[in-house]
Amino acid sequence: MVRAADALVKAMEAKGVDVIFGIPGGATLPFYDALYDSNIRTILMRHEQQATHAADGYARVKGRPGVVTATSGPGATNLVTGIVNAMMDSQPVIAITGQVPREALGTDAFQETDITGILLPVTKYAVTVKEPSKLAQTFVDAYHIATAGRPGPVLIDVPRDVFQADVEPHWKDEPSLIKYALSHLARHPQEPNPELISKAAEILMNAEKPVIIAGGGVIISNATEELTKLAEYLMAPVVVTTPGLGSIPSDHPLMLGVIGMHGRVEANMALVESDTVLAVGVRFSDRSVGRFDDFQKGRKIIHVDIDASELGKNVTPTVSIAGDAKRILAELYACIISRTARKEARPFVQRLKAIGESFDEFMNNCGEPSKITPWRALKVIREELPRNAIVTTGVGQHQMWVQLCFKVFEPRTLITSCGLGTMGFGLPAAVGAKVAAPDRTVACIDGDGSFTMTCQSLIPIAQYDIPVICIIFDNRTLGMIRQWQDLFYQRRYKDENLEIYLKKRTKGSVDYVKLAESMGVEGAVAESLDDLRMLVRRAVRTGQALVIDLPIDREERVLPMVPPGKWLSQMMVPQGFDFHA
Amino acid sequence: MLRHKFTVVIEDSLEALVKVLLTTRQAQAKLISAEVCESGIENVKLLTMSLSLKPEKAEWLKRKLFNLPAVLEVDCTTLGTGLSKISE
Repeated sequence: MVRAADALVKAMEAKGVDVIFGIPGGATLPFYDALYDSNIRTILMRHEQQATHAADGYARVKGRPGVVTATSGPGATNLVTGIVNAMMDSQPVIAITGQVPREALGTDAFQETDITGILLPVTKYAVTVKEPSKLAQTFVDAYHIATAGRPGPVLIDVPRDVFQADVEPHWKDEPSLIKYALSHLARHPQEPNPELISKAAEILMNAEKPVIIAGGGVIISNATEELTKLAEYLMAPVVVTTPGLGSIPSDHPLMLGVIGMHGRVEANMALVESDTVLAVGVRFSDRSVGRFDDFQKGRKIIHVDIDASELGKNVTPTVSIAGDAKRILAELYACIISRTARKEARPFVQRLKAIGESFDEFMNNCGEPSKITPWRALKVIREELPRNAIVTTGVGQHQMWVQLCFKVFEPRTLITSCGLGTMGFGLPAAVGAKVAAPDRTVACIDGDGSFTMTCQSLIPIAQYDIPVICIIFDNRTLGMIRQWQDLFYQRRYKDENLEIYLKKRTKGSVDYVKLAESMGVEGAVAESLDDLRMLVRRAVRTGQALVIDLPIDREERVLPMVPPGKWLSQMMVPQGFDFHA
Repeated sequence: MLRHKFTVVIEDSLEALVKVLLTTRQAQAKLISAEVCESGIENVKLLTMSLSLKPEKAEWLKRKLFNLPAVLEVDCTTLGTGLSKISE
């Protein structure tokens, strides 16, 4: 007989879990005691939300579940934002929470909360384990559910006395839930329908202006190679959604960039001009395609997604194929090369690429040459970071600038909160990313608003020597709020200002250098683009954590922008730039 | 809004049943009635729900419910608006 907590840890080890992010508490002490004798590393975060983001960042880089743990009550409820974030972006995060002992359930005991009830709508699976002998098997089930099909978060809630109970250490490596046990026996993953593949291939072969939209599903399914081969054979341009950034290198000749409300001009125009769209691993969010009715008009749509409930949800495709992106892209490619010769270069792609290049040139040459603009700063950062560096972001203007002009060369190297748009995601996600890939440079490009929400993640960075470079785009304002109040609320600025009153009642910014140093991380201010280059270069070379405060003008705007409710062709662009010219 | 009958075969657990109901709510469906009965298979229950739902949401809900780990089968039939009897 062993403690159920020990059996759980053994089951986790058997599944290859090597790290857990979290904070211990009374209800999880037996679990932590079992971890004492394990090789599983524990990272003590300073807030449970950040622990979830770290597990999420780990999962995105590693392509396997990240594990987070929290105690009952407030520890568990602090997980909620991180769990919803993982759900919206389809990331496999396994949360293990402590719970009050079984006999105290329902008595409003100290730190009791119905976390299973709270998280049920925002997880793939949430369960309170009442039977100690099932704890280890429940972990195996949860692991399987988190990764099967469209990935997502799961919750295992464990009463303290369940952790402590003695059990026979028996569990199977296969899921016990009937649904998965049956499919495991049958060994037939979702088979793509050959007729639909053939029909989709026919449409793509006959298209004049085909465009491929690559979403997060391409990255999750590791389908970069298949996507690139198909695009090159069809000579079809590729545009991406925010989660799809990295599915094809930004410098690939057919890559036009990100689409949507803050999409690149050439990418949005490609969609507007297209007669056929192949959308892979995409859920057609309002932020990506704007108006669904305009998107439907005048073009054939082929939608591929592993989650059948996404097909036909927001747009009605001409052909919809349920299945894994990697496999379907490979089958489409095989079908097309057997029927038609490789397509010639398409003039509209060259024309759109030229528009994109002129836009970059315009943005890089805006204003005084020495002025720190977001575009110039990101160009410097990109030049100094290794090609395979992992970049995380918070949420806001800086995130949109990154998606617009920061080049992403490899899958799983841009880690950002897409669906939920969680400010504060960047720094803790960088902790998880660096733990997942200790040999690669990890940088968090953050906004000052986002950074201050989760800045105590600097403490585990210092405590465990997790060298992350954090660059704060410091405009002393909630920039996106200011931009919307500017554009849509007649400049009636309200609560967007992050300035504080310093001594002698002078207005100023939080001193991020002192803040970083108080938590054991070096800080520096970049007064110029040369400073920025030197600081990033030094941090990459020395492999030490560094916080860089990069002051930027609060009047900088994220453009292009498609106003809410408008179609992609109605982009607002900076004054002086005409993409129709 | 049309009336639909959803029949859902569920591996038995309270959480699984609640999850089905929450997913139904996410589809902006109005639950009219629900009945749980034994399926004849151990640990498996049969949930029959009568819902008022936008017709275009029915297929989505069916697929969404089938995605749930504890759901083994889903069937849906459209019952109509339920107004014909009133007009008669």
